[in-house]
Amino acid sequence: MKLRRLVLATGWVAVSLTLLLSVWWLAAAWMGNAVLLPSPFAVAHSIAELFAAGTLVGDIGASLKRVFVGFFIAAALAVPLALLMAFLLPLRRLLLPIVSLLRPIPPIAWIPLAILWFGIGDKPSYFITALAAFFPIFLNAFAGGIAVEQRHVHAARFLGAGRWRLLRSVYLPSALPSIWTGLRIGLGQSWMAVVTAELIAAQSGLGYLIQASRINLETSHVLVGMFTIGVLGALMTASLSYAERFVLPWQKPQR
Amino acid sequence: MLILGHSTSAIAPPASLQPVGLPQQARDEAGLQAVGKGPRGAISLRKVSVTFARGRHEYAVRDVSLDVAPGEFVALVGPSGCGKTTLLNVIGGMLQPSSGSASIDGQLVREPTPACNVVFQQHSLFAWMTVLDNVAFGPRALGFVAPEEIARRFLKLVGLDDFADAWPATLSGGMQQRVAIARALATQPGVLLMDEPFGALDAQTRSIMQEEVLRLRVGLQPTVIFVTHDIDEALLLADRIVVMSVNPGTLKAVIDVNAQLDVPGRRLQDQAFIGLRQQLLGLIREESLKVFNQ
Repeated sequence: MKLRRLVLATGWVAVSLTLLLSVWWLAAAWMGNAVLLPSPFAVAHSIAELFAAGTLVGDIGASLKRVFVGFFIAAALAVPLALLMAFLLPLRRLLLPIVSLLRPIPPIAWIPLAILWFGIGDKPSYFITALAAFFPIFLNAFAGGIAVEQRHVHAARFLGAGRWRLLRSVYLPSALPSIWTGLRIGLGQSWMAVVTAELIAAQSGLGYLIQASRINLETSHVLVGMFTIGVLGALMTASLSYAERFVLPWQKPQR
Repeated sequence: MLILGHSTSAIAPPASLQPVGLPQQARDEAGLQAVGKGPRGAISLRKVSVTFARGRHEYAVRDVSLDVAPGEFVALVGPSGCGKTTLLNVIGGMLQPSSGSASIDGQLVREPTPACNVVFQQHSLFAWMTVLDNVAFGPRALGFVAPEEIARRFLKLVGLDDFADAWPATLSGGMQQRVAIARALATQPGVLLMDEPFGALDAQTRSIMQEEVLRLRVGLQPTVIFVTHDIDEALLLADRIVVMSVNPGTLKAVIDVNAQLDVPGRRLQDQAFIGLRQQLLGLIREESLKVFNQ
């Protein structure tokens, strides 16, 4: 039964991807110009080529590193801050207006400042990816933190919990499903932001691959970059949903 | 079966309970000897009023004074909106009275503390902790020696030692309430507040849980304040029944059940029981009509 479901699911993924490739292939044939849109076969060839040359792996590594460093910085700042703000009313009143003001500014608008402050390379990208991940993580963690059941807080205090235990054993785990949602969205945002940052403020990475190839009119390399970003992003999402059952073991898996 | 509490179990702990030897042993291990000196859990309410400022001042509870002796079981009954839960929240320190005061063993209640513990109607277990960790939470927070052992012992007491590693969400409503009771008792509170603890359970489970409460009470002797809608439940369990009136929420009548019913083996079909039930129903009906005719 389980096997059958797996085969069925895989079958549908295969059909879906075949559909995408067919449309792409037809569109490329219709345009008839490899600079405007290279065929899937040309792109596959380019992937093999860049992979053999080692540059593709290097670019993937550079982008992943930027995403994960930025993402972890964001998570490490956003989760404690959000929970503290949910927990302490004065802090909430002090900082919430600032958050509301900074949140609508898209990460890309920070790029000029990032370059001025950090130059070109990894650092401005860390800044941008962290910024992109920060707000979704923060907002979800905060929402989870203020939604803590009063009953649970009371129960914990009757049981003798002090402030620290209350924060660690009630607020944090109670907000965890919401925090987890924030982390998932944050990672996605971070991954999109790294490409933006690399288009402008870096000399390696998938975004840079796209940018450099565009200048050289190597459209198939541009598509290699796009394709790789898509595949890696989908893999990240899939692995996070898989990890959920270990992070939130008390929740029934949602299908 | 409408006979409650295996009759005799209301006075003597059943044999199955004795080998566990809970009260003193758990108390010793819990390092509660100091607190345990003399009877604990005396509650004193002095002219407690709670107002809800909704435009004009409305009293949820007005001038309630009540003394509860250590180990006494008091049921609060009355129509919806009479302030039963409000009063319970004041005793627990979950709500500050607008005037008057509540104290437990001479200590003014200002906030929730381990002097007291609460069993809510439902869904108060920590969903992210196993059953064992829920029950061990209090002993851990209070720095008791061997908190897990204490937790296991209390789980055994409510008959759920086999479910120690389960997640609360996988248990039935009745089992969850038993865990909640074990968790509340594991810190050996002087006062146990129960806010319609069986209100969300089906009739069968409810009657089993009532027996359970009587059984546990014998061993541990906390003072119990028990809010309920169910008059039979109040009559079966309580030493005293406090009937509250509505608008404002005050004490309408206090009925000493022990003086009128035999302590062991109260039966729903006894004449005295039926008489008291009629009396209580009459009192509550008056209040309900008052609300209805407003």
